[in-house]
Amino acid sequence: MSRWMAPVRWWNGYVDFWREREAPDAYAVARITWGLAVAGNIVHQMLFPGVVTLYALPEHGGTFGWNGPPFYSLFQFFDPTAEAVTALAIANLVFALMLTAGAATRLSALALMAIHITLVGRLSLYGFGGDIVVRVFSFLMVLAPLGASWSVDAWLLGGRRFVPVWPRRLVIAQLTFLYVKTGIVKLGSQWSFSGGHSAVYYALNDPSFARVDGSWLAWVFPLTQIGTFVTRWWETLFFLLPWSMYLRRPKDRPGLLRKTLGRFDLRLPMLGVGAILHLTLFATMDLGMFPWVTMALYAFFLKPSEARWLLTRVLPERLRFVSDEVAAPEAAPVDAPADPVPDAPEPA
Amino acid sequence: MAEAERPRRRWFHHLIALWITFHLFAVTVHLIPVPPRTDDRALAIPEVKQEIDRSVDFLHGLGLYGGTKEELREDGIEAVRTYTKQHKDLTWFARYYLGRIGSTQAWNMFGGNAKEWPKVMVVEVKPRGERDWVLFQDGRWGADVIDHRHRKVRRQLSVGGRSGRRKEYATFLAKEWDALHPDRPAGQVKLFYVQQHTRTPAEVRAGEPLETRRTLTYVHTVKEAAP
Repeated sequence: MSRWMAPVRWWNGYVDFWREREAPDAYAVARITWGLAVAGNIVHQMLFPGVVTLYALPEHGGTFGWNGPPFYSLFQFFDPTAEAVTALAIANLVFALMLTAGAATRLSALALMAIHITLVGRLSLYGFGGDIVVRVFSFLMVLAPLGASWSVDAWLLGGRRFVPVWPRRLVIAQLTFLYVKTGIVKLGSQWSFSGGHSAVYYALNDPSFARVDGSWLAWVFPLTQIGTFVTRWWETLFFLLPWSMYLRRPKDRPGLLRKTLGRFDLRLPMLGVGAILHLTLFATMDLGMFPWVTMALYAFFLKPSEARWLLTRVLPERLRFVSDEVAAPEAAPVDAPADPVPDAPEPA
Repeated sequence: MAEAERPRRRWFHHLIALWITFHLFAVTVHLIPVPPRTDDRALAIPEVKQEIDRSVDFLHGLGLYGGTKEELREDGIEAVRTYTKQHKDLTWFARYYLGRIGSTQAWNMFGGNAKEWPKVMVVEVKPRGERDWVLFQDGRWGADVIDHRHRKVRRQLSVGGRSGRRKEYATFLAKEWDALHPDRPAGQVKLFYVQQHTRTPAEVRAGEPLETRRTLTYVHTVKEAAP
């Protein structure tokens, strides 16, 4: 009988994994980093080369025409005139700052998603990877309880002791997809031994991307080869990070993988290498805000206790707006954790 | 916390788990790599052709294919085209769903090979009533500082089949020129690309000269003075 129930037990375990809850502090750090990155992205667009050039129709000072808006665009309701796109850009900035402060957090995230879908749909040939990152993750930000603590919402409406962990895991999964796919498609010979690991050298000599003439790299070519190798394999193997995080969760029966891959906390080395790669990219190539919006998502890898420690270094604890008092389960059954995710202890 | 102490699983917990599964499945199938283009024009791009030649040489060298290199090339291209079509047919639901939530994503950044002959756009303007072309913008090193968005547009316009977009961009550049030179409005705008060979490290160290060649010229005549 129990054999036939195995799929049901597996499914229930799977549901339990997604319905786990945790303290809300990691979401607060992520909200701040993401909100600032999104605000920076729109300010960057306002400066280089200007939102009218990017988004308005040619007869209104823009560059490219179109065949009409997709059905989910706000441009269904008004045309992309200079005034309209400027207003949208300002609204984008205001909502990004509101999101950063955690004011009307869910509404701000929803508004940002709608504005991004609308604007990115008008970017045409101007589109960049950073814009796509903002558009894709905006949807997940709507689902995440970003304003549950350390926020104006928590101040006015009261914070929450526990929040669902699944939106954070979904962001981590989606970021993993981003990196792994980017690594997998690096199939050109320049990314391997057959092409001498020369991809970074050639990319830094392409005036379409590079900030300065890259011929000086001829004297440090081995460094670019190391950069090529590390970039490709770091991206391709990025899935090891969420996998190790999964394996490090408390479990009664530690298996072989738990004893090996789950033994190490890969967050610092993996995200550290990621930050070095992104900052090197930023220094050498003009890719807009891509490095910053991507790195802003790294905050989702923080444990709640680490996020809380981080926030209390810069903000007074009272701004957390979440009571530490443990409510009796019968008094607040909804708020009781289904399976609180304690910070994973080091395996013995 | 022991299982018995947990709050009961509710119907929405199952629903959330189902939706997450579907979402991750849609993202996964959407991200299965497919070549961006497999048409004859794309296959004729020198860098693409060179890469295919390299792959065909390697595969043919393995001795597992009985035919000639040319047959292997044709069979390979046909297989890739079939795969691309099948992928497109089978993943329509993922494109539909991800499109509705603004989450279509490709993440093909820097896939393939970086260009050994990158193209750089040069813009010349012939002011109205004048005979000579005047250099307006030169994207080569040190000649001009152009922000990343305009660099991206110029890179995209260097690929074939963009004549409508080139016309729009030339019109935009004419307006830019007119704003800077109100007394000499643009009569014609010429866009062309200079390809400059990226020298190998050994060539750079040996002091070999930078080889360039001109390609893909597009001339746009401004119908009327930009306001």
